[in-house]
Amino acid sequence: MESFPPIPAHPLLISHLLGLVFLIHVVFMNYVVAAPLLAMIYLRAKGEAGRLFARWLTAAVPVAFTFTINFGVASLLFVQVLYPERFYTANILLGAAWLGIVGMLMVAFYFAYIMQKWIANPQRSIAWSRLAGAIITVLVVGIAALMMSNYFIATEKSQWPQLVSQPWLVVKNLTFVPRLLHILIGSLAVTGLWMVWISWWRQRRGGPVAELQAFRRQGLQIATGATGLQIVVGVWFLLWLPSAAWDALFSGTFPSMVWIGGVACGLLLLGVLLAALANPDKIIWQRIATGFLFATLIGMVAGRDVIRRLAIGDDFHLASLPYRFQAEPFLTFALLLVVGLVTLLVLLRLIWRLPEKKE
Amino acid sequence: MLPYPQWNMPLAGGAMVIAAISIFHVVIAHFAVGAGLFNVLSEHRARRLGDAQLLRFIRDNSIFLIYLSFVAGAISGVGIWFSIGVVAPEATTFVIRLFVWFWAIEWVFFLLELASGYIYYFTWDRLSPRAHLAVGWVYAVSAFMSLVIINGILSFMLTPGLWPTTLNVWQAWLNPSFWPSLFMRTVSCLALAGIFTAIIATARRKVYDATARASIVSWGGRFLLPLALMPLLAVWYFRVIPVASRSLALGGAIAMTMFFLFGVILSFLVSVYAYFGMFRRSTAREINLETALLIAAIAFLATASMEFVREGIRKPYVIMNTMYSHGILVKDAEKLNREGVLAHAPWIVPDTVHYAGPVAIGEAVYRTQCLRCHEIEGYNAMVPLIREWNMPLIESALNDLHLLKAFMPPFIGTPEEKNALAIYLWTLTAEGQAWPEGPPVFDRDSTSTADSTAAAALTGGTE
Repeated sequence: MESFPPIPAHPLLISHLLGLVFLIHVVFMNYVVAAPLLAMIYLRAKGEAGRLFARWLTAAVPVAFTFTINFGVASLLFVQVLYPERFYTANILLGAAWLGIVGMLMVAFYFAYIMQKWIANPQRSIAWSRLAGAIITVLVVGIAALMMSNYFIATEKSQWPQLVSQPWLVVKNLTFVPRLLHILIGSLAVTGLWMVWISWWRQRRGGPVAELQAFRRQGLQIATGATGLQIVVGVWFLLWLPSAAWDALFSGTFPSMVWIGGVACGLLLLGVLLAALANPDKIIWQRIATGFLFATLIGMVAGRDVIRRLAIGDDFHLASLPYRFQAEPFLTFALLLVVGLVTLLVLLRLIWRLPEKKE
Repeated sequence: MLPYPQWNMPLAGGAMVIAAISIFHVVIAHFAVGAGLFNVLSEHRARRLGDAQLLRFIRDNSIFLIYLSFVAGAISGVGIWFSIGVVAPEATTFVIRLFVWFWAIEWVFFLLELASGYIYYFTWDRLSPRAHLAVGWVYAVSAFMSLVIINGILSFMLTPGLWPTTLNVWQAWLNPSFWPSLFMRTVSCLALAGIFTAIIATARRKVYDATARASIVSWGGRFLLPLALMPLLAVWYFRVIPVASRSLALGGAIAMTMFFLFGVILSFLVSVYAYFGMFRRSTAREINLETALLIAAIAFLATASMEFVREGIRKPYVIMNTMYSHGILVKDAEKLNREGVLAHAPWIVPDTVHYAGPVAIGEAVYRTQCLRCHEIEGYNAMVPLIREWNMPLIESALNDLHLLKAFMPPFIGTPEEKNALAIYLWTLTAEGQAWPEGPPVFDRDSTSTADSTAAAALTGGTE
């Protein structure tokens, strides 16, 4: 890598930016993974409530898709800066399957719009909407599996000689299934809390109160159940990790402490969600639960980084990578980021007080 | 030096994968930029004139923008990254590392573009006209700034300017072809916005009557009129690009010249049609969906041709004077000529299952320097190019590759590797196919070192 331009800032700065944008990516991505699935399940229920819940869920999927991609792009940008050899090698070993993500993503995204339209149209059979939901779910789970495979290949350099001819060996890794389940069940927990906030948002704008309260309760139940299950799957995942990973996760370094804090918050989240479930109209419990969820996600992002650094640590030390700080471009970026965020806040404020759209 | 494995698309080639995704993306992305300006300028006009039909049309245009640009446009943009990362990871590493803060700035504008694009559509008739126009301007400016940032990075790859000596990243970004390229792209963005106006208006005949359609299409036609500036901008552009690149487009490489002429003629035809067909209300009334789609197809071909030329005239480099199209840095060439290219390409291991001795080495060298542009069979393939060649011709070509063809990089590697490549290429010729026991003379002893080094290097560190 010495032939290429040096990293244009301290690697830890880029690493923290990566953690931040990846965290936001995960929040949106979880909704994209779980919302179509939940909408599909609600459509199986008889009556208008199921259709209404499905409609509320799918209404936000395209926007969530957009920001999943936007923050995913930023995450991949910083990954490419820090880990080009690992990342591109993993891309190339996955080859056509990696490029296939582009097509899968596009089809899934268009089906998100199609599903939204079909659910909103009472003349159309719900079977079509469920089919659209199934297509989106299969595609996004496939994308999640490919992304996970990429991460796995990137961190397992010792297995590259075998993976050259058989990239699908990643599926045989003992952590593959618990990893994937961890993503899927986590997405249900996050989406449960998304449902809570969607219900408050709609209620504030004059939506039907009784239905929205029911929607909120459903969201809390989903989040609680998924969090409980996630603890079980998390333990399963941990048990399959090699002892070196355990040592790293409990090493007492700052990222490992963040991870431990995240795990503790995850455990506490279950208790908070149970309290919120007992008091579904008291927003304070939902706020606390959301806070704990974010803390848990921060811990999970840190844990992922700990594992990655451990896996590639033999010949790679992030903090000691050579860099040459591009001060002016960085300051320009920082300034424009602030301006951009202020503009974004102004835009969000514009729509904050808008009444519910007449349907 | 070549730290990554190689990926190729059989028959089509990796470059064709990049081209297909890129051209698709460029057309949509240019439309997204042009439509931002079109929408906000049109909304000003519609509100000033009290034109309800035009307002209705902008609303239709803004949802069409979301469906096309936020899905196909955004994801194909990701697709470009994915494909260049797989096909040309060295060049991607280079431009990502060099311009990471510029990419990050572009991401900020992309974020604003998406947020304001959604809000612009979802708040029609729900915000005050002034606030709604402000949102429209946020979209228009963000989308345009996104183009400005990307333009600097793309134009750097052809004209790095003072960067190689100063290593100043601002000089890399604000390079000699930055401004002409930006103006050309802006004109293209406006033209595509105008063309899509005709498509949307004519596709919704039940919504817009003939008079409204004529008015909207005529208004959209004005956005194509800047195309008339293209010849001047092209002259400016060709003045600032390297002489070698200019020569390739203006006769040095016949395919490049043909594509260039094709692009110029198609752009000219679109601008003529814009004036005589769209701009005048009397003729704008007659435009139907089929005609609008045909014009869009012509514009697509014009854009594709020009993008092909822009990419092509960089050859033999992917980053002018810095990195050759096969991913080897110019500054590394001398070292590789001394130490061998295979010794620094840990993933390229001679295939001793299918080949033996120097042929295996030659095939490995072929993968380092030829495969990225030349599959064995298929598009721009090796076999049709050299089928009738003989060994002296191959050797001569490899000795002076860059002199024989201006768009080819020189052979890089030791004399032994060159010899091995010549033998491998000879096995692909008609003569080689008819003579399975091998060419009359070659040096088998020269290949053993590279073979063992390359094989051993695979599991070693490459950081």
